[in-house]
Amino acid sequence: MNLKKFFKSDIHKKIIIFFHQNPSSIDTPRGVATWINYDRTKVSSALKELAKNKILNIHKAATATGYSYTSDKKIIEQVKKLLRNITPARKQ
Amino acid sequence: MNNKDTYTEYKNEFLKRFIQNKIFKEEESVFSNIFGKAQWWVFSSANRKTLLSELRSMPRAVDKKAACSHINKVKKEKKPIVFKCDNFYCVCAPLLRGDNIYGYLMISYLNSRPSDELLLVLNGFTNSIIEEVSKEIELSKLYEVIRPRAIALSTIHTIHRLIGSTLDINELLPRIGRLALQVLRAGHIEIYMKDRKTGKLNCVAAINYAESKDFYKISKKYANIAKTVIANSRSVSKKNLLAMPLIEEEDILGVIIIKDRIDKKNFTIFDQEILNTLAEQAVVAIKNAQMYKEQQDITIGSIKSLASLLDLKLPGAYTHTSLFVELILALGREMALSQEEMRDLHYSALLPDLGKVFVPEQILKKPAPLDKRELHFIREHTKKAVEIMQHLSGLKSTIPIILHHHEWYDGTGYPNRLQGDNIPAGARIMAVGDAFEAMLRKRPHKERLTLTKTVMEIKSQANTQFDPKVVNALLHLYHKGTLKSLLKGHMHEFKKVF
Repeated sequence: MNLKKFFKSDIHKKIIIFFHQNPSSIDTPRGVATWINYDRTKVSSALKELAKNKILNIHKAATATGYSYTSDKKIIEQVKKLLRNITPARKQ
Repeated sequence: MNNKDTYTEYKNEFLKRFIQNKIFKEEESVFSNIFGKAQWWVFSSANRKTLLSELRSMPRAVDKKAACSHINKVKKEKKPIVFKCDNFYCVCAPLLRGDNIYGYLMISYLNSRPSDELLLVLNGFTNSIIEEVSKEIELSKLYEVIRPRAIALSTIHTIHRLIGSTLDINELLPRIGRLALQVLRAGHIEIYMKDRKTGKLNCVAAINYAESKDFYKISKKYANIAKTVIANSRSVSKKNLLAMPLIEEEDILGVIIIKDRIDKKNFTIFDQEILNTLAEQAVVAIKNAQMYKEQQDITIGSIKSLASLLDLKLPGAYTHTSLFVELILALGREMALSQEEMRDLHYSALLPDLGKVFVPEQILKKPAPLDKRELHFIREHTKKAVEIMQHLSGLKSTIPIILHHHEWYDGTGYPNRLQGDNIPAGARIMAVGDAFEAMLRKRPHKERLTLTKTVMEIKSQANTQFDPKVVNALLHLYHKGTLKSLLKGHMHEFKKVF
């Protein structure tokens, strides 16, 4: 799993930031697309990739699929570090 | 935070946004054509000490004491003034909204006194910026308040959809557990359900995030807490544990116990509220699943009773072994059929040859190959079954499976010579199951085959008699050892096949 790679893609980065800031959230691709203001189809495939890489958990049911943030402390810590690196760069 | 702090925070936010406002920058640029190289300054306060310190940082010298007294005049009169200072003119206007002054705009070092008309235009510009900034802040505050609530509401809605989309209680309970763990960011959950007949408390789902890579492991660590919740009919809240009853009107169905937040913090009242909401949703879903299971049991019981009656008439002629039903369901699972498809497959597998009641007994008992007329009778049985079943509304969805389970994949079967995927998936599975069981059973005119030979024989008929996808599923079950395990459960009938 290469988190840095996902941080290079705007949509993946926005999804990770959304779940990092709202770790209790469980949402469908449509919901996540609303929160990050992105196209639903693109969000849907990005969510699948992030779930495949264990950054998100996937909750599959017959009529809906929900995604939520990982509970893996190592991944959460890595995301935190990457976010810390992003913030000063924005200020410059 | 008290009112003063809130006001100061608002004021600071207001001034920050005012200075960054696009129209303000445009105003500065438009008026600089008229005012020349004037200096624009926004002060946060008319307080002498603060003001002096702000004035000190001005790049050009100004009579600070005079400026202070003019700004104080603006504060008192709450309207713009023009004053002379160090041979230059200055304009000072309050950033006023309602009765509140959020700051002061000062334009200094003007070469000439601005006309009243010009001041009016300047004032109009400034007021429109004040209005825009105020609205911006209001919207931003509203966004900050509403967004987290909207996200939480969306989560509740998603949970509702996720737990409402299954009627299988065995799938539902662990799902409720996983979702509760996720929402509350906790490490351990146990769900206890009260047996409706005995009243005994059973742990029906236990999930521990840390104990296993697959997350989930059954344990019964907190059974005593569950008993306490049931006895007192109320939730238990400790620093690192929440226990919530699953209440349906006056009756307690069970208990959800959640423990250890992953951030090691204590559970809050907010967490308790969330678990309460989740428990309420869970109760509805559990009741639906229980009712569905009861209805399913009634249907299955009725079909089994009918099968028993027919079995009394001529044993084995109208019914299949329980191995057949188990194999059909194993194939269905292997092929990842939906919940509804599995239900229809199950009902169909219980009595697929019901229509044989119309076939004369001597044909069913005949120990030799059948002639053309007799075969015609046999081949009519699927249509006859439909005639009986069409009156049973709860079983209508099984009709296509029963009608077509003797179709061949290459289109040479009966009754409609359907081909390939035009044959319903359930019927294609039943065809393989039917042949599998027949080959393993001793028939009047045929010797039984071993398990391996049966599987190989079916494999050789892929694409002709059988759907290759179903054959692959059967091969997969064979290689995994599932078929052997199924047969072991029926040793009395099939012990010679190993």
